[in-house]
Amino acid sequence: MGSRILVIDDDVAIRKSFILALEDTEYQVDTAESGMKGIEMVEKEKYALIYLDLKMPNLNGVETLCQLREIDTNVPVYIITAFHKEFFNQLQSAAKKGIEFEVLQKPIGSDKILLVTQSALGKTIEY
Amino acid sequence: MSIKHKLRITFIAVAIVPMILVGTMSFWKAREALTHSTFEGLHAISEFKESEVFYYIENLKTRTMDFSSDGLISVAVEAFEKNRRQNTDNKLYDEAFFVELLSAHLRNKKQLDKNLSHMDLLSLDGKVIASSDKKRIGQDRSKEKYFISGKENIYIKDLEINTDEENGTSWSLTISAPIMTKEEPSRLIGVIANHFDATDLNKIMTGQLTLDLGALTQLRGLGKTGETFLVNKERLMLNDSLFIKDAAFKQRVDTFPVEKCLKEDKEVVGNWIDYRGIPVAGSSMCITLGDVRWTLITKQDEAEALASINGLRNLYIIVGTITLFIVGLIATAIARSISDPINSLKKGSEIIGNGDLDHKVGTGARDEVGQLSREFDRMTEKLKTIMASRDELENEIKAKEMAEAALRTSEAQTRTIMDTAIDGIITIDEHGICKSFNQAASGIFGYNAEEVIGKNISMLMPEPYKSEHDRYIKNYISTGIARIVGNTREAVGLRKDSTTFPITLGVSELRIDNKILFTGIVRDITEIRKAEKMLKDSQIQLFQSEKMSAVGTMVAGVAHELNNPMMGLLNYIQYCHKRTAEDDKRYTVLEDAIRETHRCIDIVQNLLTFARMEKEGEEGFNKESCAVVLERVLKLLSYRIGLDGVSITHYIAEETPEIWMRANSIQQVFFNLITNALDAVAESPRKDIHIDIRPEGENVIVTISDSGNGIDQENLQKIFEAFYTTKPVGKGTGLGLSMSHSIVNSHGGVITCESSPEMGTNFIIQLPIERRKKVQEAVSII
Repeated sequence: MGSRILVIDDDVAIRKSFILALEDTEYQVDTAESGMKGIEMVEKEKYALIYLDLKMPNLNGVETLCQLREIDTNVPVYIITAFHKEFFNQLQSAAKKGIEFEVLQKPIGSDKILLVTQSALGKTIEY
Repeated sequence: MSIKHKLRITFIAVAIVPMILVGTMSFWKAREALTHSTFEGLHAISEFKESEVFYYIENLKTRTMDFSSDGLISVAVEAFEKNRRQNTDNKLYDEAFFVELLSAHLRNKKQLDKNLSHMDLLSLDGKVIASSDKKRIGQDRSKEKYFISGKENIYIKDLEINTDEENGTSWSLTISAPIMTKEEPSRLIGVIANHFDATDLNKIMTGQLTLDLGALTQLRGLGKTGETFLVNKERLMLNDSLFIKDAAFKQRVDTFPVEKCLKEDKEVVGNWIDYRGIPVAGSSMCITLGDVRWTLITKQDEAEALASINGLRNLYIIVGTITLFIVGLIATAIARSISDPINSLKKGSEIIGNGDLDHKVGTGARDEVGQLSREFDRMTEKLKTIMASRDELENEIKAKEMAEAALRTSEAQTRTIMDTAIDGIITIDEHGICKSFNQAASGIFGYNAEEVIGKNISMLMPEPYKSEHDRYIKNYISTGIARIVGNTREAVGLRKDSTTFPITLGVSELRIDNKILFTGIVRDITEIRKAEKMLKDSQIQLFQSEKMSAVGTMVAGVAHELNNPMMGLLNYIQYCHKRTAEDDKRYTVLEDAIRETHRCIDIVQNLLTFARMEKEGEEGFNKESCAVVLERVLKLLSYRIGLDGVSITHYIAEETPEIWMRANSIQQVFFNLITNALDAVAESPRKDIHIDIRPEGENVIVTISDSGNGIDQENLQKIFEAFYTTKPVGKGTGLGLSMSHSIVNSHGGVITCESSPEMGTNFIIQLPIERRKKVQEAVSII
């Protein structure tokens, strides 16, 4: 039974990268091209991992994150970003509110995507 | 003693002393004379009285003599005697006849002289044969001295006093004389005894009776207390006393002159205490009449005798006192008239002495004091002018002193200013000789003032300034064209240690007493230059960085844009590569494409990082925990770690504080280093990775150690270089460590590497806990 992964990014290149990178895995990859869309999908489905872009038009990443958390507090959310300063402060304030997330710097290759995904979802290896 | 007193005393002395002397001497002389004349007078009276007494007695004596030589008496007595010798029968005559005859004769004679009391004729046997007083006839007087002595010569019997009821008090004096025969040879036939009433004598003595002695008139009176009296040899007063009643033959007078007379037969003129006990002045005469020894005393109470003298003395005293008083007044007046002007002069000079030079003491008096006072005024005037000019002088001196003091103060101030001035101040004369050289100048050039003052200033200049300097001055002085003077220009200075250094020099000119001095302000601008250079550099840098920032912003923008397509590209190519057979020709090419894509990504990353760092500067920093960051990284890498079978241990010191960092960047660094470590141990038998985080001083030290094969020494230096990689193609871009390096630097930290084949590799990151300025290496990244 494959875990569902959601990728929320307004850029098709990013969405496609995730799909391609995780094609041979057991995971099911869903994509959303906007924050709004993403939220809708989270409402409908249960996701084991969400990849979320920061810089999106309309509902931006942080706001999306806040709303996602209202729906699902546990799902790990990895924010993929080029560390744009504008969102950093917002991220910080989100973190202060106690909203959990992880940060991931892009661009990120398929091997890294795999690594991170397996890390986030996989057998928590004792180290 | 004041002049007034002196004058007064002098005057009084001069007036009084002679007066006293003369007066006293006159008084003495007068007293002497007066005394003398008093005594003279008394003596004269004595003498007069004496002569009166003598005269009186002589009178009686003569009378008696007359009687004794009376013819009738002598014949009769002779006949009587003859008769007596006859027998009674042959008596020729009757005795009674003779007696009667004689007695009658005597009676007649007695009537002739009223002084006579009795006359007695005494026979040779001393019997009264005839007398003026019948009763007395027949009395025997043979024992009487006057009979005995009377037989030989005339004899005076001393005065006697009788008191009877009939006649009262009467004095009698008996004088006897021998009766001699008329015929020769004379023989004694009898004695006549005249008993005189000597009351007149008393009267003479008491002045009641004065005999007319011809020219002699009554001398100066005896006054009230004066008396003359006789004292017999029994020391009894013979006549009345002025003072004592019934003194005659009762009052004993044994006073000094009486004794003198009776004992020494000497007369006295002088003073003695009289029979009353009262001091008297008088004169005594000694009267000797046979057996009669009388002392005739004329005396006057001393008080009265000298009364005039006393009066004179009193007069003298009164007159003297009055005179003294008058003289005193006059003396005072005169003394005042002299001393008052002097006093006022003195007072005036006191006033002047106290400072009031306008006070005038001059009087119009024509005497010397007046002249003095006018001279005084003149002197005061002169003094005023002198004082005025002295005051002026004093003021001038004071002003001068103040000016000098002010000058000294200002000199001191100037010197202090010069010495405390930060810039070097050097003055030189027109020949370039240094006149002053302040502290700052010493500091700048390294010379002491003594080493420079007096020498030519060009010793502080290197060539070519040295030779030019004199020329400059000469030119300036002659042409007045300022090249240096009045301007500030840059030059080069020469220190004592022969080093040169840049200076600014500002020269100004000043003229004092027709001498020219130049003042140079020297500033060592070495530091300024350095700072200028640094500023320029940093300006350039800033400009650069601003440019870079601008570029950076642009780049950031571009990079951001590139991120997504790059990711897409990467993933697409990786997808293809994964599904391409290894022996396919496209396989390696796809690998190349992946590597190049990674390269692009890294370049873009670096660009972003660089741009971000330049742009953000200090921004984006927060206090974060290294431990937290590490945990995230390990979580990210957890799958690979497990897959590779690597043993990762970590030790995080409990006291490790949060550090000032950009968490993402540090995460990148950790990610990069741990990934490298993972790569390093992949091919080694021992797969240990250890992370150590601990604080050390102001830093936190993060050490990532792997048990890989190490890095060669020669590569060790290059590892942080951009694009340096030992990884096979497609595996790494070589940008990781250089990125990490610049990230650490931008945090103000240091990253170092130790490595050896046996030990493995250690990457040591030193990150400051607090904010620190980033290490200036921004430019060298790309």
